[in-house]
Amino acid sequence: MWNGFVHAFSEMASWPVARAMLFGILAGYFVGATPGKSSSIGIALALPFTFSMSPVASVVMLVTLYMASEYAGAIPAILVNTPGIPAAAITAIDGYPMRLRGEAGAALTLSILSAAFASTTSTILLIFTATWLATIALSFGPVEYFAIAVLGLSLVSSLSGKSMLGSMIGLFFGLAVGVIGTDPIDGVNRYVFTDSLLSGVQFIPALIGLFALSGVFTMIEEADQGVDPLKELPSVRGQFGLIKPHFWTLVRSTLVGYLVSIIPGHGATISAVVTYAVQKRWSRKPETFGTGNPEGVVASEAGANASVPAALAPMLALGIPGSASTAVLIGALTLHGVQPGPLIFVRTPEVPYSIFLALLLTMPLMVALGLGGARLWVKVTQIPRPIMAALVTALCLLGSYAAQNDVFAIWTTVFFGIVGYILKKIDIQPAPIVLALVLGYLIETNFRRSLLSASGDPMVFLTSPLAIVCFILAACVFLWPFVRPSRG
Amino acid sequence: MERKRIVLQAREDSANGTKHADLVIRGGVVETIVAVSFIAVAVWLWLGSYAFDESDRGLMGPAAFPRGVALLLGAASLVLAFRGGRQIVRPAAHNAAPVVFRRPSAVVVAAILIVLYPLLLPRFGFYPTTGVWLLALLWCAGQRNVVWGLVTVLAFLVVVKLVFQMAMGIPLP
Repeated sequence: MWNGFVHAFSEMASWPVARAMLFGILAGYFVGATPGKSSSIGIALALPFTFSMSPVASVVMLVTLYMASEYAGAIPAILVNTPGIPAAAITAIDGYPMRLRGEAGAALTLSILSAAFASTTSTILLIFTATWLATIALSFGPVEYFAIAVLGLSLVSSLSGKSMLGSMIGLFFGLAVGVIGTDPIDGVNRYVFTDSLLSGVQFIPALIGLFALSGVFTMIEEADQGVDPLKELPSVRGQFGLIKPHFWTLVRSTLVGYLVSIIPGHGATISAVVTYAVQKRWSRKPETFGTGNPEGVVASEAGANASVPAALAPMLALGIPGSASTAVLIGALTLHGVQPGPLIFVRTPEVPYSIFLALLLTMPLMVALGLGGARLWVKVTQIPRPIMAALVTALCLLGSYAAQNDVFAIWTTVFFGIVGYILKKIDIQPAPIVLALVLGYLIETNFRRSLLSASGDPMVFLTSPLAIVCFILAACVFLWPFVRPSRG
Repeated sequence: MERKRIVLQAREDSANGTKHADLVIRGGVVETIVAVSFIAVAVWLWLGSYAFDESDRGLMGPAAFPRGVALLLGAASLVLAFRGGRQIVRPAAHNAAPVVFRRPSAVVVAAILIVLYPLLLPRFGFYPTTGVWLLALLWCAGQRNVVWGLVTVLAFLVVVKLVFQMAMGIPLP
């Protein structure tokens, strides 16, 4: 482990990596503070800027952007009751009433310090969890990988969006798109109607379309609404002693948030909701939640920010995305020739250890930017929607072109952008499609490799205890939404 | 009015008092269209798999996984089509919420502009195409201040030149 850190530190002690880290934080704050932008959209839009970077600089920039955007959403949520990201809506429940009482500084201080504590603690937990998981996963064969991927897929299908059926359709559509291209085992062409599809549907243009371009149409729909003018903004100063009475709330919420988010499919929003509910149950004054109770701000921010390192654990150790954002990160790493999974710690140790270091080192800078620049980040909400929509569109198309230097990539983005927009109208979210695009390859190759190793005997899937546990869990997760209503 | 599947509904914008027509589609219609499209995708996957089928390989062959996905996608889409159909026939009984497309004309024009971009890019080059196209997109999105529009376009092109072409060395057409 120490060798990994030494290797990563030597890679990180360079101007290009430091520059990438700084850009990642600033871009993350911008994305987080802009209403309607999630961290996955931010990472997708920032991807084109990493094409000429080294793998370490690239991943450091995207991970710091991911982390900064998860925190920055709290700033407009507290100051103007406009959550920058979905998870920040939970922070706004108590954060905005605090601001109305004239306690904006206290609310922002509590939120940024909670985020900093949760991120740092979760990163330490991530270091041990990911390396331990990766050590175990080194002994996994195709049967275990197939079972884990099936479990990941079942979790995602039941947790994304409001409609279970919609999520399943998104998932199957993603798997269908994933089979286009050259077959990974036999090398035959499948559904290839143009040479540009020989290596499959390009992942980066597809996810830029699904996450970012589909959102542009929604922005154009709402472009006539104007932005809520900012009223007087309070000055914000750090009051670090405020966090002391909430120490145990912080510890509890961080641990709960980490445990919730390490399960693939649970993002920052679910983590914030769970930690907020847990804290309300533990609180001596549960009736004050929603009226400006600082415990609510601490719990939701700690939960949301603990989810960032937690979601990286299955991604790094198993190559399975823990969230939509980590699915995009897998795409970014693959683009740079780095394959997430247990071998990442053996073949390219500088990458995972750089991620750990980046998460730890950026924290002081994030606290300084969060407290010092709060008034500036709130002004991001004032950018006119038509300008934002047009610039995001241009960046989407430019980014997808730059990914392959090929106009076909733009067509891919346009197709998935329009499809994503229509599907959102009937509550089929893009996250299951993107996750299926990542997991489909893992599932098919390991399914067929397992059968090949057993001369086609399907009982091979029941030879591994871990695989059996994963299949049972996947079945439970799949059936749970059908059982739950009858119990209620 | 109640029985119509697609209606245009006038709405006054609270910000500037202008009137827009929203496209309101009765619950179940969009679901059914999407479901039928996905069923077509599933059929295409199933039939297309015979082009590379090696029947002696069974589940190990290249056609097994696409066929499995086709079956799952087809089955799930059939359920969606059935649900959509029920909502069309008896909207009140199935709590069918309409699907609303706000500012449909602006969205359609934006979609056309977006489709035009990859057609024009190889023909006219990056900077002229992007400059004119972005200005049109800004107008379509609702940016009526031409000066601000020109400043935005110019700033974007300068940033692309500095960051993408000069700093990152990405060639643009």
